[in-house]
Amino acid sequence: MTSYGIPHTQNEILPSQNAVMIFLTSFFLKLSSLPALIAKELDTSAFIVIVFFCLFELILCAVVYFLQLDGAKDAIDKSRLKYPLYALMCLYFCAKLFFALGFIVNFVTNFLFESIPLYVVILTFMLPVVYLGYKGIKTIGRTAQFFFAVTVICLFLLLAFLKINLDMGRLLPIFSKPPQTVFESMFGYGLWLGDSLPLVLCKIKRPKKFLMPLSCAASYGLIVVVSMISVAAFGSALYINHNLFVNLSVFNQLSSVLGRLQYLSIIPWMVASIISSSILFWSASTCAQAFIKNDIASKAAVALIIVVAFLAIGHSDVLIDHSVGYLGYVMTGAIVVIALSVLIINAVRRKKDAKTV
Amino acid sequence: MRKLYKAKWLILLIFICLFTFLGRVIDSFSVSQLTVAVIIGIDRNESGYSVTAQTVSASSQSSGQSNVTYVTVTSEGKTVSDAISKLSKKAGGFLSLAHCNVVVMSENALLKNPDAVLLSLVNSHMLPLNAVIISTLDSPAETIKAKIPTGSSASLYLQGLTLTEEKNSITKNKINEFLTDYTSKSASSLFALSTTEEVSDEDIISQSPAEGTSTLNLDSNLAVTADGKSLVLDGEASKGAILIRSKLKYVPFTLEFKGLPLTYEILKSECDLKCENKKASAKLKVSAAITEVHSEKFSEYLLDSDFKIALKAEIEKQLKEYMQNAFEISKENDVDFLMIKNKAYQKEGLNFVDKNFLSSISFSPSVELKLEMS
Amino acid sequence: MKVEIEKDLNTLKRLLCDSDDVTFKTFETSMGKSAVAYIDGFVDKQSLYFAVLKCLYDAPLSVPVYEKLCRLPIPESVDMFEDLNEVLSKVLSGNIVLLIDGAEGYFCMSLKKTSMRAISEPPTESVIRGPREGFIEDYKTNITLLRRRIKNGNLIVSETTVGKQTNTSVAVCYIKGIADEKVVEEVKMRISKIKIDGVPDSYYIEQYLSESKYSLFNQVGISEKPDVISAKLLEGRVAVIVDGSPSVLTVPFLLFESVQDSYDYYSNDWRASLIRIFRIIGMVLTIFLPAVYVAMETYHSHLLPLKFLISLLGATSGIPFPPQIEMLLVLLLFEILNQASIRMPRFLGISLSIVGAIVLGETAVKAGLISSPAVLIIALSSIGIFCVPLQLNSVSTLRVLFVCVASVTGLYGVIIGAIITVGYLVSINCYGSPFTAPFAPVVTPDLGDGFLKAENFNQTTRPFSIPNTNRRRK
Repeated sequence: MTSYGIPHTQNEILPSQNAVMIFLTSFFLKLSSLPALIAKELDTSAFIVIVFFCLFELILCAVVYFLQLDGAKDAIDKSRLKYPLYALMCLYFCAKLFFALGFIVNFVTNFLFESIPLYVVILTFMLPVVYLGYKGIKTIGRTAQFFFAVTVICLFLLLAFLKINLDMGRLLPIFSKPPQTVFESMFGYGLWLGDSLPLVLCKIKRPKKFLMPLSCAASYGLIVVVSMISVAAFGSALYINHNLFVNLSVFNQLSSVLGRLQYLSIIPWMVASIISSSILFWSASTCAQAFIKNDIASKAAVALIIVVAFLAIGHSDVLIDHSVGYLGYVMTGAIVVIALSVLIINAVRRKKDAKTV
Repeated sequence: MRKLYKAKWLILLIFICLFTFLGRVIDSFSVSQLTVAVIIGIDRNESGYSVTAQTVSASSQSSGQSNVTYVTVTSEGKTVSDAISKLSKKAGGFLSLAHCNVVVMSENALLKNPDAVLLSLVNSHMLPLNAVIISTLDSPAETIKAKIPTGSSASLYLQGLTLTEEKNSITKNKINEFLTDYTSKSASSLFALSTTEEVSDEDIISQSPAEGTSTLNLDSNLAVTADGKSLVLDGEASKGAILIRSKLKYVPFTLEFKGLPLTYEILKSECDLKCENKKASAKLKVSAAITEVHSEKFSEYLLDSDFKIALKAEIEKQLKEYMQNAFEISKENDVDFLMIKNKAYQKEGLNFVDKNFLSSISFSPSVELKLEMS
Repeated sequence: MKVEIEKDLNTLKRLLCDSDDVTFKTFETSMGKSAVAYIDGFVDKQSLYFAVLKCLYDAPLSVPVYEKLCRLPIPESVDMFEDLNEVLSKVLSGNIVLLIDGAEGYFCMSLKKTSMRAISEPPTESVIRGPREGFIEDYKTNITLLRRRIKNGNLIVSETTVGKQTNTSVAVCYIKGIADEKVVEEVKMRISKIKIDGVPDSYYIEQYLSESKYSLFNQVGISEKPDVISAKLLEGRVAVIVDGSPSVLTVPFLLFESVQDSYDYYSNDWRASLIRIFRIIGMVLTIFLPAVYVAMETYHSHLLPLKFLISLLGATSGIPFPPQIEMLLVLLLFEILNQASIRMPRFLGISLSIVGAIVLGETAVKAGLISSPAVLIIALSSIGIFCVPLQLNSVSTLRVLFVCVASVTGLYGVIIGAIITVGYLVSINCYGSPFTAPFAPVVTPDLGDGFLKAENFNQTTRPFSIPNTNRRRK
């Protein structure tokens, strides 16, 4: 018993950690940049798109949970499709992390600071991401649990004391653009889907029946409620909120006394962004380990690629402009392909195990 | 042990280098280099924009207390951002709009691209989304420079009026609400209109009397549309507009009933505006209380149930008249400041037809009054 | 073997390097030439001469020497050794050696009369209600204090010596049937592997017991109170008592133990819960308040309330230093005051405190060198350190670090630093227990002794966060 920290190869997490990580990853992007981007194109139909996204995510969460209980990573490791699947997953997680960084950097450079070089923001942000990713999913889960209480308190203070003119009529008409246009454009925002997919590489220790449904219901219920409030408050002007979550905190009953309470939303949002990015980084480097056998080398390679690519692009606005459209369709397709592939591989493995027994 | 000792020096060296590097590359503005604006005024003329800001500065005295001074500065530029950068130079520090709760805009500024102007201030200059917009027919600079008799600055005076939800019927149109209304189908917005009223020096009794004091009256409103129309609503017309648009709390109204002047206070009001099949309806639910009446026999009259019914009917009639009057003005000038078009669009969706909307609909207000005797 | 008194005495003197505090006394008895050797300060000389030696004279010749000595009315038993090196270590531990010419061995007995500090309340763990006894430097007394509280045959005390030069006695205490045997073995193994010159204080042992030796955070529990240690033993922890140190170490140690205090268990649970929350708030304010102040003033003044900003503008106008330098300067001044107040003589304490308060509180502010908000914040932060004295070192270091981070990267850097710190803390495992349990990972049964404390009678199980063999308390 001479453990100095947690071994890096462990991928078992507790159900409460799984639930908390899904909660944090769900609202990080969906409640910040997504509503404004959808509203720019689809006006008040943004609400129905977000509701549909939440349903999609609930189905994906259920699939991922089933795969986690079975320990799907072991099945992938033994499968013949291991390399192509890991390559696809690695690319997907790297792309998602890459674009998520774009939004985070955009927020930090435009809101938090007057002038700060891009490389400082990206290098400083990658520090906790790489550190937590290096320590492993268990550390990320525990860190998420540690900050969960703070996040919930901030969310409660934000929503309970929200003082904004709401008109539920602004949610209507549900389809401000023709339904076909809405459904066709919807998957262009695929970058914002697949919150729980990185966790498919984990296994759940001592699963509890009620916790996962409760967590998903709470997370996506919160997103739906906040989106509803946002559309009721902003209507067609929803597009002005580059970071909706932070902007909502301006409208707080306590702000007349305590000043702008944006730190109430900055803190949980930054925590959620770091946790989500760490999970994506860990997943990407775990997949990269199939090719680069060394653990540290795989993590270093992923971190280096992300940072160098970001610095090469040079401006976060470029990323934001390209995040919607073709890339979104590709990402949506990737989610479906990955989820289906892992399901099939797992089913085949189960059948084989049943035969040998 | 030696390894740790060497490592500690290395870690210290890394930290020093890191902090030195980061300290060099990141610009910081200390609070003392900032000029904090508490109110901003925007005017538009042919050459561009004129921006006025009232800034606050504080200096410490030897007694330990701080001395607060308000300075009003004006600058011009081709765009608002240009004017603000010139204003920063004039004020002697980087202008921060982060604590600006009131924005005064002239009619000209509201008629051309006010959304672009305000959005640029929100995105680039940290203007809060919950800042209240007040309109003026004169120059915003005059409004901001007004000397209030109580000694406070115009910014504090306006903040006090606009941040209070209760006991006044001033339209508090915040930037987010303005943008929401402006980008909706109605494409119009209603602002409190500020008019300066001189106060005679004889009316003020003070130990340190100031000359040239004035108050700001915000009872009127200005309606502005996206296609460049504007409409001034006087006090009476404004009442109908605020009854339909806002939820009132403890707002007094005056009525003459059977030759008796009386004041009643609306304790709570909410209007449900609908528009379906070219028929607009405004159902006003209101609870009110009688606060002041001029007759010795009034309390006896109140015991008479017929009298109470008649009084209730009279109040309802007055409120209906206000609402109907507001609609007529809106229809006459084709300025949809009641947001009826938006309601119709919400109901009809993609089938909504915009052409000659206001003139093609009928409007029927109704009032459900709960009268309490205070 | 047979004792040759002259030769053996000379050997003993040589081994003890002719040290002046070692007394050698020769005398004649009925059994022949005899001698005693002892260290002067350790021995009760009256008992030695009037009880032991007199007895030797009085006892009949027919009774063997060892039997005679065993009949002596002394508290401890008499041991016989054949090796002079063993005798040497006994003399150095405060025992008496009796050499009788021609005897079969050397006789060692203990007649200790050492002057020790009286048992008193420890200065860093005072309580309003509860026991006021504290450990002292003598480890035998400390073990006795524990025995008085746990009158149970399962309380095992396993002694060893550490330190090549000092041969300091170290006792490992645990309750058999409650403590996990693997933890006990691990502790014993680590202590046995210590190769060190001397052990002036238990901190030297603490470093070897810590999981992450280079860490800023304490990973071993420390207490000077027997009631606290006995409670921890009952939870399944292992205590290490070091001779010469009043601080007793306990493992496994969880971070939340820094927030718990013995008073929580001797008072109303509502009050205890409230106090714990205040302690945590105090700790958070200590670490983050100076950093957040610097960050807000330098980078994020748009987040400050207007009235506060105006008063800040007034207070900081005319201050020659930027906020980061000002904060570090005030921190330095407070640390100097802190160090001086620990070391200054008590009779100077009051006057120097006034000077410190006047110099910092009034004069420096009035002179315009530092601002009053900075003084207020550092004062609050400095007081808050003592909400969690167990993490005093880490908390006071972290606040300086966070001020440096905030001064270059603002609130962004503070949040990132906080996450890295928490990420580091959650990854520490202390003898199989996660350091941040029961919050990360959540251990639901232990949350009853977390932020909100459950009643003592409702805490029917031992902590699940640490390994122990018997979960039920009753």
